[in-house]
Amino acid sequence: MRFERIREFFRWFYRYRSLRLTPEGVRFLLLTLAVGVAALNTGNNLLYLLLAMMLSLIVMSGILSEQCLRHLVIRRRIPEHVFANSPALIALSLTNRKPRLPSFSLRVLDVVEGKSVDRGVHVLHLPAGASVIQSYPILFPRRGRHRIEGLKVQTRFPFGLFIKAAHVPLSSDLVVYPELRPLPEGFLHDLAVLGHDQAVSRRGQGVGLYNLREYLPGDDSRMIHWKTSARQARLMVRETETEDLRQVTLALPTVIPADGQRFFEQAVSLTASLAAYFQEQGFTMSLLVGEQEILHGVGEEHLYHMMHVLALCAPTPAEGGASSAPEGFGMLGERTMRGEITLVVLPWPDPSIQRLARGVSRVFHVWERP
Amino acid sequence: MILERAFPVSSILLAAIGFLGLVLTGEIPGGLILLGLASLVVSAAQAMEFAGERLARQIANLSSATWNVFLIAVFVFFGADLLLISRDILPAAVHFLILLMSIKLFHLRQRKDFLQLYAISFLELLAAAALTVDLWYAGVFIAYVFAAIWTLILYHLRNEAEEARAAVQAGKELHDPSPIPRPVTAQFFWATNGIAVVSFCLTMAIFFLIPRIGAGFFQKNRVDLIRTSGFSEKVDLGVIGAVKLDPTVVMRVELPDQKAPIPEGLYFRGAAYDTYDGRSWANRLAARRLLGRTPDGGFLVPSELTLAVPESAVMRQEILIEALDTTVLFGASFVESVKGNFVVVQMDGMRGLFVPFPTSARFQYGVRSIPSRLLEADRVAPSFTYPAIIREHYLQLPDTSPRVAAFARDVTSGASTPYGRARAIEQHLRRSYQYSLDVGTTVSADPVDDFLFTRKTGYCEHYATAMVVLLRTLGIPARLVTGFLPGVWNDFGNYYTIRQQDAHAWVEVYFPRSGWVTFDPTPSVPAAVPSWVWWNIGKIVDSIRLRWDRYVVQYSFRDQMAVAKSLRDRSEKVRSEVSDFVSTVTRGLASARAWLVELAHAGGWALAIGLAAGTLVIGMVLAVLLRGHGRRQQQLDPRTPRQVAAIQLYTRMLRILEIRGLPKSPGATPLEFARQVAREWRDAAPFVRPLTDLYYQVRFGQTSLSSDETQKVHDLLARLRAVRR
Repeated sequence: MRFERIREFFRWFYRYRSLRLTPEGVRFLLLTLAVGVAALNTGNNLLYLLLAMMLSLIVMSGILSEQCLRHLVIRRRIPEHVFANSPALIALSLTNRKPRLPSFSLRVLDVVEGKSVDRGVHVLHLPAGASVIQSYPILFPRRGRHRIEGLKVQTRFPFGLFIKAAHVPLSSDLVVYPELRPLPEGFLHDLAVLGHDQAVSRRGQGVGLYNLREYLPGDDSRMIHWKTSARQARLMVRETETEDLRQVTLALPTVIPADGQRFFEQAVSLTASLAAYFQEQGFTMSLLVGEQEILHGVGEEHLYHMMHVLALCAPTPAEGGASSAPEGFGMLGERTMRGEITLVVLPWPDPSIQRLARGVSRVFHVWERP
Repeated sequence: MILERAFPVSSILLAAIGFLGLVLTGEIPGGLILLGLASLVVSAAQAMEFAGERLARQIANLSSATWNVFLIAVFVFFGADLLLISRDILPAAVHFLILLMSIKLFHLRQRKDFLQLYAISFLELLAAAALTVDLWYAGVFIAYVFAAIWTLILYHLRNEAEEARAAVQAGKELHDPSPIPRPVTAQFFWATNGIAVVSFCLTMAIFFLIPRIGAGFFQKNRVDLIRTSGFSEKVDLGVIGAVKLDPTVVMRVELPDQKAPIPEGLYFRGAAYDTYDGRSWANRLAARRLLGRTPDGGFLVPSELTLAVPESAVMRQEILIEALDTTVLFGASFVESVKGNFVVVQMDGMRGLFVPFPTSARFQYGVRSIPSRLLEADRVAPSFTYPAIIREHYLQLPDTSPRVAAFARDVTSGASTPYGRARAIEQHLRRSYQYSLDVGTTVSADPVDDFLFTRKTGYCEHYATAMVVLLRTLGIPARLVTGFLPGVWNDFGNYYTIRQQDAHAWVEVYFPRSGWVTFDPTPSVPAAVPSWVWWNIGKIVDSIRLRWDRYVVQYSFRDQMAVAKSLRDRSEKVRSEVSDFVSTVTRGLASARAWLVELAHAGGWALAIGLAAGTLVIGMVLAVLLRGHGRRQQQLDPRTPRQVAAIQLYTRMLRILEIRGLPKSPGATPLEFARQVAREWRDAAPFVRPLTDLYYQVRFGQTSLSSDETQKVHDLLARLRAVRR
């Protein structure tokens, strides 16, 4: 108990600094010990002099390495949107705020879950008052909330005998979105067909072609379709199809059996990938994840909002092999309007959801996919 | 210079300094020195890309198998050296180190090669520490500290750069790290040297703080013992003359209670002799006994007298003695106690002190002495009755010619007391005989007779022997003593440097109440005037050497305790002074406050406040005035540079005279002081008076010294410094 307390005390005392010997340092200490024994044994003061020199080198190591680590200002910049299993570039800026003294041999490590992770950030020389920016890729294998607890700045300066580390309490919290996986070709074809089947043609603002007609005064000259105009020898304008009605609802039930975690993660990833696909296609999207619903919206902000929900959604254990379907899922079939796509991503063959999803556009059975 | 070149150069320099340390010990054979030098030169040429680089590269490109063969050969040589050639581990190891260094210098490829070279150079320095304690080691050590700091920093930076490059190539690091400044810039140069200076200071601080709990009594070093003469149980007349021209330093003596040399009467006593056979002196009381310990760890010399001696009469000495071939312990007459790192100290029947064996290295010890003192009763007593033991030992005479006794009676005819007779003989010998080391090589049948009546020249042994013989013919007990004169006083270190040439013989005369009293019939010899510059450089070097020996080589637990005690005493003194000051100020303030309150109660509030404000204003005005006065003093100094130079020369003269025991009182004018010097120290008058006249001429006569006069002043000062008092 007492030993634990002492250990705790030392941990507290050295919470901002730590010291480790390098292989050269171990040899140096052994040699110092040998010289010390020789000096004690012989009483030869010149051996004491050499011993003092070696001890002074150790002390100087401590002083100079401390000087290297002092007055360093470090900032970390993390990208706003990070996806699982997709490398994100983190930028670190180091500034030496010392008025005269440079810093040498700096290595910067991330501290994650109490462990130091070397990202390969190495600054050999940072002059007084200078700054340097270095970036490194980082890969999060899992979606969800992540925390980088701090930074550790190490130096072996001046003699390479010790590795001194300064702990910088620079914590960063980030939400990692689900992994985006490429959708298979066949799958994309299905979605295209589905979109075509459900399409409601109406003139309006959009990208898709709706009709070609003769030019009328007051029409936007930018809309003139020159090829057709040349072919028919009269000015023809291009009318676009409105995108207002290109709507999709993605539904992901979160109730899963005890062994369904893997398929649930695949379902989350598929939902996120579908969302990214439809965003690219310009669809208006809504999302239903368990009890949580995000109403129709469009644009990048809306997509990242959906990704955030998907990143943080957690499965709920099913009781007795079936789930009581969430309230939102009960109205799925009824509320699907004409021209709207409703997709349900099922992580496991949940009979209650399957029953409710009869009226929807498509149900994806994740467990059936490789 | 770029980093890549500075690094190998500093590494080779480090190896060279370690090698130099070994070479200076004088224990390295010439062949090995040449080999070491050649490998250093070739290696340096390769590093600096000078001529010879091709050769160095060819050597370095030898296959690993070839280098392994070399290594095996070196190990075989080490075995042969240990068993057949040197037959001692230390020399064999030293030879081995040099061979290893040579191989390594040709084969510096990887990081480990450099590390091994550093280890070898450190071991060389370590071996040198075991082989020497000379002053040059200090220079080598300082150079090594600087080179080591440079090398280790460059080694580290180079490794970091290499590792970073390798990591980038291996894809572990995305970016090439910020480059280390490649040229060794002025800033880098001074910063590294600054680190080295701080490291050196730190080294010295740690050195003095490391507790000395080692078991080594004396340094186990291999030094040649200095041969001395005149301290064995039997001494032939004339042996001291053989060493009178030998300038070898035998000991250095510090007098902790003295800041100036003692004018006269200081003799470092070694051995004494009671029996003279006409050719040589012998000690019939040579049986030694062990001295008892004092409570503080010293050894107490039993006193022959019961007289109480005041502490102020005790003379303390710290003696650093070289490794001599004698077991005698020297100390100013007469030693009361001795303290040092001794197991035992012995004393013979004539108060000669000895250690059991000659020591193999220089060592240090402390001595307390009580100078001999002649009591008034002994001075005036017309005759004495001596104890039988004194009569038996100290009245012995060889066969001497009758004219010696007649001569003694003749010389002392005017004296009526034993003391008067002793003094008369001493003075007669001093005045009437010529000091000379050139006494010829022929051995006289009766050296005393020859000295007194034929040659009338000789040196200390002849004088002392003649005086003892003359006294004994008159029935006055006397003995011959050998030892050393104080030698040369070193102004820079406040100690005496005693050389072989300071060996001396003198006389001790017995008085029943006072004990043995020192007499010296040898006339003082005018010292030669050496070059002032070299004389002082020699003194400075010797002073540094003493400090090196005293504070580094001989530094001990005793010194650490003394420093700790001194610090404690000083802190207590400072604390008590601060406490006294604070209480005085507090008392003053309290009484002033009480007075002001009393004044206010008496109805003088306005007066009290006015007084306080007035005091404050006066204080401020005084502070401003004093500051202004100081500035004016600085601005309005009317003295010309020539006058300042004259004052400096005159001050130098005053300092010399002060050291000789003639301080100038503040009230005396320079002329009055010159007259005082002429009265009290006639020998100095020919130099002091002209110096004073020149001082007057420049200081008050508004003239300046010509170059001849300046030269004359320097000559006069040098000659004044050389006159012994």
